[in-house]
This record gives sequence, structure tokens and C-alpha cells, in this order.
Amino acid sequence: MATDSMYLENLEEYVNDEGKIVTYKWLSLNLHVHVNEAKQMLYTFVEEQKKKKIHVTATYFVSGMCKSVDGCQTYTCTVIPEEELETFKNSLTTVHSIHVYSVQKAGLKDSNSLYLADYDCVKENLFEIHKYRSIKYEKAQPSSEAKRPPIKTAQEETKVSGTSSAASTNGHSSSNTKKDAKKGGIAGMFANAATKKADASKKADASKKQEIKAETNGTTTAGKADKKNQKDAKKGVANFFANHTGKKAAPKTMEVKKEENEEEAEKKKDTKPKQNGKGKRSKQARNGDSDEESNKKKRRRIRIEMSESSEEEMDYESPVPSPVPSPTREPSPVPDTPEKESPKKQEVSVKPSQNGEKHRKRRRKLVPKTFMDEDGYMVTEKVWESESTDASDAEPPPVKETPKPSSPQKKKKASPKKKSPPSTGSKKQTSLSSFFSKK
Amino acid sequence: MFEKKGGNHPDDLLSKPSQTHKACERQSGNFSDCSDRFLLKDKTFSRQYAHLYAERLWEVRPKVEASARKKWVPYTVHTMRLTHTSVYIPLGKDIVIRKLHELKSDETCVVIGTLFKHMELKPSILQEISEEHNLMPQPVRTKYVDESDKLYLEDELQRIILMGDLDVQTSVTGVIIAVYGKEPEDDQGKFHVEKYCFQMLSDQVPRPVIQNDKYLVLISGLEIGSNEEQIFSLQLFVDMVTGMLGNSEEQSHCAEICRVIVAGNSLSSSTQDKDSLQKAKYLSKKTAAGSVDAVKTLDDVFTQLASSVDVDLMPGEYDPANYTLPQQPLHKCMFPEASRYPTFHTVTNPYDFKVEGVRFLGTSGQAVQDIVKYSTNEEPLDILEKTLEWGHLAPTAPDTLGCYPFYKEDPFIINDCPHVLFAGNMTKFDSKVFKGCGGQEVLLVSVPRFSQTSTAVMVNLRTQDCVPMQFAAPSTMEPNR
Repeated sequence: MATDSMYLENLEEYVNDEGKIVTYKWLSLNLHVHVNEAKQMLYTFVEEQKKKKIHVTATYFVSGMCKSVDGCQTYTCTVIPEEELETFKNSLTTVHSIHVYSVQKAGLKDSNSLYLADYDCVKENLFEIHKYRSIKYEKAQPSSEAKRPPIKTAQEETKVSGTSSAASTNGHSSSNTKKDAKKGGIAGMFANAATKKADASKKADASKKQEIKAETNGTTTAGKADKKNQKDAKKGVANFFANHTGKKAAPKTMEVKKEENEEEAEKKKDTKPKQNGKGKRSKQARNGDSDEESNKKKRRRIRIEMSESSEEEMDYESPVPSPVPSPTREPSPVPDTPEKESPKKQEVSVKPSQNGEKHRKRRRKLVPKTFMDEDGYMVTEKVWESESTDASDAEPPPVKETPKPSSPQKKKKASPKKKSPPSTGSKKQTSLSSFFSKK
Repeated sequence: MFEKKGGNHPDDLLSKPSQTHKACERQSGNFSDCSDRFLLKDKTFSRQYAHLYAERLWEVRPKVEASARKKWVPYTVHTMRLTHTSVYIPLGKDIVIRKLHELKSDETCVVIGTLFKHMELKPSILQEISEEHNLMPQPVRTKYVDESDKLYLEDELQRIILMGDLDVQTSVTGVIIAVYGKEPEDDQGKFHVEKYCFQMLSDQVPRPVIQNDKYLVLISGLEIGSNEEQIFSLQLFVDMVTGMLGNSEEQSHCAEICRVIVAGNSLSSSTQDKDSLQKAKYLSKKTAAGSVDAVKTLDDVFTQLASSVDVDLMPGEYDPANYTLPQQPLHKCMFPEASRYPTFHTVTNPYDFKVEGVRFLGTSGQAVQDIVKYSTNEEPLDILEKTLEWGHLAPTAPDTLGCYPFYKEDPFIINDCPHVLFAGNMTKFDSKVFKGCGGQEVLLVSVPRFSQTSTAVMVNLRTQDCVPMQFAAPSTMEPNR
């Protein structure tokens, strides 16, 4: 019985050196002995330590019948520290059993530490504990592990989903993914997806959400990125899920692809509805699904937006009137030709580029001009002047001519000025007082 | 109840280790499930509840009629002059049973119908909608009873107010009742009740005699996932039942436990985070639901239990099952490890089964709690007794308790008299034996919430005794004073 003497030394090591809380369960699982034997081992250890005058504390399990408040006999089971053992024993009407529950160096504060002492050990050996118990139940045979590998991925999915949210849909989804994998109609895409899944699941960390994400990443990128560099696209889509702001990068690259090759774009459109279906079917949790769908919608939206803007860009390049006219703008003639109506038009408009100049806009501005009029008076008047953005001087003819027709029309101006709305283009805001200052 | 077998000393484990430790076999009881009527075959919610009430009346009426005829034989009383004893002489004719539309004034007769309790404070959807009109919303109360509550008797066509000996406060809506009395000439529209009766409890199938002690453990209200969860006490319970704790004598005693029933609320109400339903999906994408960890813990617990004993898991109010009664079994994929054992079963709420010839019927407590809210009854055992008398497990369904709109059946009617009637998630443990008028004996058990009391209930199948098992952790609980 080598183990007999060894255990005492082991216990000493565990308790004194490592400061562990050694419970009978932990001891039984580690030394592969019956639980009752483990309890006895703990007891002898405690006795030995007492003889050696080394301080260890022990908790005891006591069970018995005791009388409750209502007067009925209650079957009580408690774990109590050594100090309370005697008093507790006396409070019971009958004692059924007492044994050592745990041994530790320092006193225990609460029950949580006792619970946690066994926790990991029990979890690891969940299916082996029954060997060391006193009670055997023949009916309780767990179904073997052998059944699990063939449907491993599906099983993993169900495991993942099973622990996350509500039940029934997940059962369907896993069985459907199996069916899909078997179908082979959309074989290529699914083959990719399957390998990606395997990759993804291998890569996945402890956190199951990451696993879900990786799998959905795998499925969504399968169709789209099969021609391009898969990793990049995956990253792009991974960024997608991780960071909403990164979205624009991903669709833009996809946009570029679309423009390059129409066929490719068509194929993507083809795969997209299929993908949608697959995405829906192969979802793990509702979160994942809504993610995909909402992201797809976002992608679609952005794509449309991008396509709109791209149209604009294309338009911009061609010699066509500027695409952003103000809605209230009336078709104003070119300032090169002198007009009499020009002062009436008080709205500022972005003039189309006349000479096909790019990025240069000719503007008509209301500018106060000071000059000598026919009576020899200094007059300051606001006059429409055309200006190009490189701030060249306004052309002389329109300036000279416009004041002349403007002066006889000065009075006329007064009335139309009343009616016409205040100029929106002038840098200074016209206030009502300016109206009165003229007189 | 627990006699010491052999001469084993309680502290025989306080000794040197020995190699010989016997292992005993777990007892298994003959089990048969009778809950088939609680499983929903089809789930069409497009029906109205009128069918359920009609079916209830249709099914129970003949039984109530038989009970009324038996009880209320019309008689006259004749007092003997010399001995001063009263003699009841039957008149030889039957009682008159009338439908409400056939009622004649001042005729003493019997009417059978459904009881309806009109309550002022009962929450009504119309009142909730009145919030739109800036009226005060109804506060949530623990009890909705009021002095002004009235009782109506409804049959298929009409309803009438009941006055008289029938206690309004302890009655609830949905019970099929026979009332004996009359509608007075001067007080039309009201029925004066002299006597009343319900369906008679059917005869009990006698329990077979069991040779050895066999136990069934009831536990409820584990409420994992809350701050108050007693995880250590739960672990003690599991270790006890699976035969790890205690000395060999105690362990052989625990080997006589043939089944464990978990009667609801294994998850706590705090895992049902209502805010998560309102919150936008994109905000809560990365946060796992509170119930996930709780279910994982439960899976471990049930794996340990199922490896040693048959376990039946009933859903409760806070469990991830449907809201309406009857609650369907929890899906096994929530317990992947425990499901590997054939001894782990998920069952309906209410649950009806037979072990070793002893018929058990029980719920996770929703019906009882609903009756507490809508009547002045407080004691769970009183309510359980009343449900036996009324012959219906959940009379307030579908009025105030959510219920599936059944069509041609009402599974809550108690047709076969059980031997044990239990309700889970009660505030404290209690038990008593109810003796019916036909000689039936039913053990009524109120199973307390484990998270509050750390107590489970052990029922002895041989003697119909009931013992609470309490598990205490160090420095948290003191022994019962």
C-alpha cells in the first residue's frame, strides 16, 4: 500500500506548501480512490498534523435530524468549521454521519471558496466521478463519444447555439447546413464555405462569439472574394463586423471590382441571393443572422450611394453643366454679354463653366462700387459683377455699362428691389436699415 | 423515518483509511408518464378562449350534476316528540336542475354553470390603454381583491349574480359549480344561494403496497443566475443524492432515492432581462444573455445528478419555456452534457406521472400563485385542497393565467385522483394529508424555493411521509432553532 503513506506527504504538500483547499472530492478524483476512503485519508491527515502541532483547519460535514421551527423533523446536512462541530452535534436530535469535508491552511470565510475548490476538478472529470461514488446506477450510461464526430461541425454549431439562445430554430439550422453541405448544387461556394468554416473553427478562440463571427465571415466572403485575395477580403469583411466605420472601405473595394468587370458583378448578384439564403439558414444565433442581413442591407445601401456618387463623379468630368444647381436658380445668361436684366437678378448662382474650364466657377457678386456719376457726385452703388475664382478683375465693359443703365433705372430699382428677395450671394447681409440708408 | 441499519457508527469515517467500501445499487421505480395531455400537438393561436370554457362546462357538468343529485336529496325533517331526535325523510323526488333561461321565480332549484368573479381591481387592457388619455395607469399589486367583488354564475346563454352563502373572497373565476337556491320574485336578476357543490373527486386507485422504502425528491426554485443562488447548497444536495457525502450507511439510504423532480424556476427571474427585449439589437450584439451562463451551470448540475438518478426537469415561470400553461418541456439542446444520459428527462408543467403505483400530479406553482393574487386564500396547502375540491388544477386560466386556447379538451380538469399533489416555488415547506369524502387520501406538498430556503422535499413512497431536506453552508445558515 504505497499510496497509503504517500498520500500523507502529498496532502502536506498541497495544504501547507501550495495553500490549497483540499476537499474529499478533489482528493478522491486526484488519487483515484473511493470518496469514503478520501474522507478517511483527510481525517488521518488532520490527526497527524495535530500531533505535529502544525496548524490546519478542517471543515466537517454533519447530517442528522433536527427539529425545525414548525415542529417537524428536518433532515439537515451542513458543512461547518471544526469549532462549531460539538455545538452543532448537540443541537441535532439524531446524528447520521460526520466526516471531514475539507482541509486547508487558513480558516474559510464563506462557502464560495469551498465550492470553487472542487469546481475545476469536477468539470474536467464530469463523466468519471461516478466511478468513485458509493451509488451505482446501471441505467445511467452516457451515450458514447463515437456518435459525435460525423456530425461534428453541425454538433459544434448546435452546442454553440444551444448554450446561447432559444432552442428550436437552431435544431433546424444545423440540420439544414448538413443538407446544404450534402446537396452540392451550389457546390463550389459551399465547398469554400465548408473549408473556411473548418479553418475558422480551428482558428476560433474560447469565446464562442468570435467563432460565430469567423464562421459567418467565412460564409459571406466565400462567394464574393473567391477571385480576389481571400484574406484581404476576409479582413475587409471582418472589419465590417468589428467596426462599423470600416464599412466604407469594404464596399468601396467591392465597388471597384464591380466596375472593372461586369460579369463579376453579375455573378456576385447571383451569389448574393443564394448567400442570403445560406446566411439565413446557417445562422448560429439570431445575432449573427441579423448582423449579416443588416450588414448586407447596409452594404447595399452604401453600394447604391457609392454608385450614385460615382455617377456624379463621372458626370463631373464630362463637359456638362454643373450637377449642383440651386433649385431657385433661373437660367442666367453669361455675364460676357451686357444685360439690362442682370441687376434684377439678385440671386447668386453657380455659373456653369463657360469655356470648359475645370474647377473654376464664375460668380456674379453684388459689389459696392464708388464712382462719379453724371452730376459729379460720388455715388456708391451695389453692382453685379462677375468674378472667377482665381480672383481676376471683373471685365471693364460690364462694369461701365451696368452703372449707366443702372442710374436711370435707379428709381425703377427701388421698386423691384422691394419686391425682390434679399440677395443671397452678397457677403454682407443686407438688413432692413440698408434699405432706408440709400435715401 | 430514517432508521439506522446495521450498527454503523455515525463517525466511522473519522478513522484510518480502509480499502473496502461497498457500493450500492440505485433503486429504480416503475415509472410511467401520464402527461400526454399536456403536450401541445398543434399550436394554433387563432382560436378564442370561449371553446375552452365551453369544453370545461361540457365535460364537468355531468359530474357536478351527479354530485348534486347525491348530495341534495330533497327531504323533510320530522322531529320525534318523545326522543327529540330529528329524522330526515326523503321526499322521493329528485332535485330540479334548471338552466338559467328556464328559471322560474321563487322555485328552489339547482343551476350548474361557471363561476365568474367580477373584480374592480383586476388589471384590464382597457385601463392600460387609458394611459394614452393621461389617466393613471394601474399599479401592480400583490392582491387584486376588493370588498366590492361580485360573483356571477354563467352558463351557455346567460349569467346571474349570486348572493348568499357562497363566499366571494375565497372563490375564483373558472370553477364549475352547482348552486342550490332560488331566484326571488322581488329581487329579479339575483340568485340566492343556500348550498353549493363542486365536482366530486373521483375514486382513488389504491396504492400498491411497496416492500422497501423508496423515495422521491422534489426540489424547486433553484434560481441560478441571481445573486441569491445557493450554489454551494445545491452542490451539497447533488453530492448527497449521488452518494458522495455521508458515511456508507447514509449513502445506502440515499440509494433509495429513485427519482428527482425539479419543479420549475431553475433559472432566476433576473436572467429574464426585460430590457434586453427593448434594447436595439446592435447595442446588445456582443453581450450574452444572462441566461447563458446560468444554463451552463445547470447543465453541469444535471449531468452530475443524471449520472446517478433519474431526473425530471419541469419548466417554471422564469425558465426559457413558453409563457402560457401548459408549459412545454425545455429543449434538450440546452443541456448538451446532461442529455447524453438517458436518465435525464425534460417534462411539461403541469406534470402527471406514476411511480411504483403512486400517482403524482404537480405544477411549478403558477396556478397557486395566481389564485393567491385573485382571492383571499393565502396558504398554499389550502389552495391545493381547494383545487382538489373544485376538480381543476388551474381554474383561473385563461382568465388571469396565461393558457393555450384548447379546442376540444381541457387538460387541467382533475379526472383521476392523485396520491400526491405538489406545487413548486412556494415560500415554505408544508405538507398535509387531505381526506376526501370518498375515502381518498391525498398528500398535499408545498415545495419551497431552494434559493430562499435551501430545502428540498423527500417523499417516502411506501408510507406517504414527507421530510424536508435542508442543506446549509458554513457561516451562512444556522441549524434550525
